[in-house]
Amino acid sequence: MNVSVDLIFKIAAIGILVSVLNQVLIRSGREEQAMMTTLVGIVVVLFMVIQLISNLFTTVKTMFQLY
Amino acid sequence: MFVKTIFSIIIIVATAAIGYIFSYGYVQRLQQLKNLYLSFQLLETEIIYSSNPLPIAMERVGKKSNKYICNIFNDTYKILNSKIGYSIEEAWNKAINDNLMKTSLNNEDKEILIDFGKNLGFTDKENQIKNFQLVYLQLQKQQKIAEQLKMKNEKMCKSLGVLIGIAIVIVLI
Repeated sequence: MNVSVDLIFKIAAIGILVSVLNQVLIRSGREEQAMMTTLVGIVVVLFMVIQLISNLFTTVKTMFQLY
Repeated sequence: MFVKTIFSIIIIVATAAIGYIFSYGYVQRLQQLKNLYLSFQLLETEIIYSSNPLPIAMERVGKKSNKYICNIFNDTYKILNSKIGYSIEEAWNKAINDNLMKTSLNNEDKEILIDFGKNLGFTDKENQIKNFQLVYLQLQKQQKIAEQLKMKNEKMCKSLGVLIGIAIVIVLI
């Protein structure tokens, strides 16, 4: 396991935060902004894990020898 | 680690402060609309019942009204009293344009005030009373809208400030 556990905790924290933000915005009647925050959260998390995903793909490629 | 903690706290405090400032604007606008209403009532009393000339009425209202909006009346008094050839409407508009930036009132409120100035001081008492009634109605409407906006946005701004601060800190760690 090369991945540090920190990243998982970070992503979990962002998830909790985004859900709270979502609730706050929906309560004050701003569904569009709530949706935008959700999207921004997803994008931020994606940027965090993009390195790992690309690593995974290269591993798969090398495993099946698809150069 | 120590530096990290300190800077995280600074970021959270700063964004929370920004949120509080935004929410303070809404509270402040409602308060100032109420004060404006009171000032107009004072001005009506001065004009209709004491029958004071407008510069004197303006001066006395300026002394009595709230510190954020008294400048509008004080400036009108100064311009009218210096006798440099402004009409009442021009003096009123100039005072509003100079002072409205310092208050939390927005453009709609400004329109109401300017419309009020168009009829101020050159018709008989009955028309003045009608003019005041119109301003009261409009100000009441604005107060209702401001109250709704405050209910809607005050809490949101506060919690949004803190939450965005925490989000920034989590992303940066």
